[in-house]
Amino acid sequence: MLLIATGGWQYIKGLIAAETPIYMGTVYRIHYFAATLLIFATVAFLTDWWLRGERGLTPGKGQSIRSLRGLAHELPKPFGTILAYGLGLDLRRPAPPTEQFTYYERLISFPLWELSIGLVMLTGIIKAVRYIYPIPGDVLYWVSAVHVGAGVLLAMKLVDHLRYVLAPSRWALMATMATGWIPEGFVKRF
Amino acid sequence: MKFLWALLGLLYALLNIYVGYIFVTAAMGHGLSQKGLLLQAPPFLGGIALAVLALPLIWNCARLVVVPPRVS
Repeated sequence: MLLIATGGWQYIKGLIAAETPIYMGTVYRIHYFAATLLIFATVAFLTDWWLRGERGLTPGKGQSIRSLRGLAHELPKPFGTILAYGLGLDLRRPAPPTEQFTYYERLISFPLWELSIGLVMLTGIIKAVRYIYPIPGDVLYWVSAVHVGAGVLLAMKLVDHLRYVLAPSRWALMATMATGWIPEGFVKRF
Repeated sequence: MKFLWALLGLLYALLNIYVGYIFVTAAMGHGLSQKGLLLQAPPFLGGIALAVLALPLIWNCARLVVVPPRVS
């Protein structure tokens, strides 16, 4: 949230060529502090999953078609039908059972997080490196453009994620994150 | 607690619509219109996408408050 807010502030300031009442040095410092946290959290997440051999958020080897069929069943009917028709999936077959994560999370949500966070981190590091190592202006121009684009994608992803987790049917899982307990009735539905 | 989350989600969705509005007006504004379509297109399309994606979030925030939970 800090990264999106401070990055968005910098971008919109340039976009509308407006004066800002906030000292921009402070905005940049908060942006770099939040970027440090993001890099730390991402590296910790990747290391933890790598050491435990966790693959829950990936479709799994040889499971692509099955996962796509599961996704087509999970999506709202018009979107699911278009996906199934486009890829030749048989929706008359029952949906494969959902495991720890839904097919939407494994095929759409998580890969988009990977893409947006990966691009933001990579381009952000290159932008920061220019203070200790000269980077050609043309390269910096395109790196900055991709950084802003990935930042907007990250903001969109957050909107979509909130839409997903705040759906009434999943509200029980939000409470579970805080308490560690899941209602029995919710588990029985799956 | 769910009312607080619904409020936060609603505020974030409205903020995204406002940012989308700024993007679109800036893309069609005097400054960027002199720089060509390549620089106008990203804030224009990004602004529309931000606003459109915020609509389902507003819908779910309203449903979260109105719809009684199916599981207690």
